[in-house]
Amino acid sequence: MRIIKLSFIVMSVLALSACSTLHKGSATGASGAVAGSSGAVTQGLGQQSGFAGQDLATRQKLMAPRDQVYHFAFDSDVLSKLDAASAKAQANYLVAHPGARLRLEGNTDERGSREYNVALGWRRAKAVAQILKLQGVNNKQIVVLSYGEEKPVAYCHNDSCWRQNRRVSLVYEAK
Amino acid sequence: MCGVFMKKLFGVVFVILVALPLYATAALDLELTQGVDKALPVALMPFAGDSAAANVTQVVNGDLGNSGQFNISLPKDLPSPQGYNNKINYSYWRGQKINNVIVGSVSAGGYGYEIRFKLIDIYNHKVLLKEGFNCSKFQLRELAHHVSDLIYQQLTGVRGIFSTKIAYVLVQRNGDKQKFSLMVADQDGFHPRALLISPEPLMSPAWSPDGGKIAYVSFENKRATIYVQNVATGQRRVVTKYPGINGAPAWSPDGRKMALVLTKTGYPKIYTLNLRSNKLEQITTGYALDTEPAWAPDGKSIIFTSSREGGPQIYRVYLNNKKVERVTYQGNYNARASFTADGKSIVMLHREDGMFNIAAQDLASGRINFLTAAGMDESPSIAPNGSMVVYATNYGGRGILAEVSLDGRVKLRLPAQEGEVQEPAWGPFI
Repeated sequence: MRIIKLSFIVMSVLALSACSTLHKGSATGASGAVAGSSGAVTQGLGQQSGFAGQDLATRQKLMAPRDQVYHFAFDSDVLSKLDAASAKAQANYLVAHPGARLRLEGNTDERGSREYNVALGWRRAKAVAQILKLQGVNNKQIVVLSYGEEKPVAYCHNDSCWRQNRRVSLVYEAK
Repeated sequence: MCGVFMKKLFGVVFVILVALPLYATAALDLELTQGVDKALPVALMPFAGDSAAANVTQVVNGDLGNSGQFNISLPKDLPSPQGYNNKINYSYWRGQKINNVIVGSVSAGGYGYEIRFKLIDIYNHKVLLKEGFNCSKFQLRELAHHVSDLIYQQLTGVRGIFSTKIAYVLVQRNGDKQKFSLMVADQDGFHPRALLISPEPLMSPAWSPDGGKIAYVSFENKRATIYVQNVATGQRRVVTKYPGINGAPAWSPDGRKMALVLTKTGYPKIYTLNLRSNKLEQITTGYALDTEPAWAPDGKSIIFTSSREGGPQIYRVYLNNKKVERVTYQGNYNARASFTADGKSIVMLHREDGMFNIAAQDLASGRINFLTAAGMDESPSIAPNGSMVVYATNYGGRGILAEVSLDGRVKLRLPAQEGEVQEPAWGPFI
């Protein structure tokens, strides 16, 4: 009876440790997959930062040349600290590679007038372009445009989608 | 606020529509927001003839009824036959408090159909209109709209809009894939046809004043480009493709110039482009966002949306001296304005308490009149006779088009399509 009870505890502990090992492994595997795929976007990294740690996320985002998505607060064209650092990393690459071409696509959420949103998205994309230019990137290497609210990535009609759609996408046309 | 009243009226209207011989994908989804007490009582005798006659009757009934100007009845159980060739029983109609009676017939003949109709004034014992037309079976609906136009103009003194078209953008999404179509349909939503289909966004369709061309913005090359496309032939040409924004095209009333938005200075500004000489002129200056130009009917000034004092408001710039004056003051978000045909009012997108609705502002008094209240309304475009506004709204979780009369009394929803419908542009008289 005692032995059975003990072995049950041992098995439970083994099972638990197996669980945690499995968990760790899957987290590493997932982040590895993101790093390996070309044109990967930072969206999945935010969710994993709890497992992988802020450092990995930061490192990922700072790698250049890499397509990026920067998000914005409502009615704002100010980049977060990480995104600004990441923009500088892209700038360093662009300066070192004059043949590289980057497209900056401004986007807004669905609220408001469509052409006015094109103007708002433009202001966001220009804010990113301004950071790149201050780092010495040649005007010819950047294409700035704005889709306004016409290219959402999330389709619900509340803030959980709106925050995903208020963004500037950086797309390398040549690396 | 008037929900019960609305429901009651809706029920009545619905019954009338169902009692009609319906065809194709059914009529407009009619929703009157207020009573029709001021509407003129008109009796529409079902046109004599086969199913084609029933179709014509239905179109005329829909057109005149949906205008909100008339209280249309379809009489039955009459003391004596009241067809096209019968003697009009004036005393009977007077007893029914009917002002006007429409009688007509549709007969197969020659290569298609012959339509005849009369519009009768009961109180003055007069035949106001007596017309006859021939058409092919494919033109039957078009001709029925023409009959509605003639009756509407005779009774109201205002030209009818039942033969006009509406352009709009249809967006269909399938997973990550999107399909954008530039569509043209009859003003009641029937007969939609695609002018352009693209995997990238299409925006801001604008009719030339003669109705022959449509300008629009296309992102098909991952750059914004303004095109002008011939509606009949489908041929198109590039108007502008400068780096940055090429947006919000608007034809001048004489069709010679186009107002548009470019970012040549680094900031979205209003320009005019002479379409013959290609001469470009910058109209507004500064660091603010200026967009959505719309011409005054006399072509001498342009209203536009600007962030120059914070949130978007409507301003007016005079083209001879480029002086700018502010037009809207009520609320912290006014955008996408356009003039009514008489130039005395503007219709625009107005936000209050986070709700986006369509509003009209009288320019002399500055008084604002709210036309809609759904909260997700946008992109208003005024009919050429100034009676109705078409706009984009959300219904049942989908983007659809709706119409509202400029006095706010009548509201209609256009037949729904597969996908999201947005950015309607009401075409001119043709």
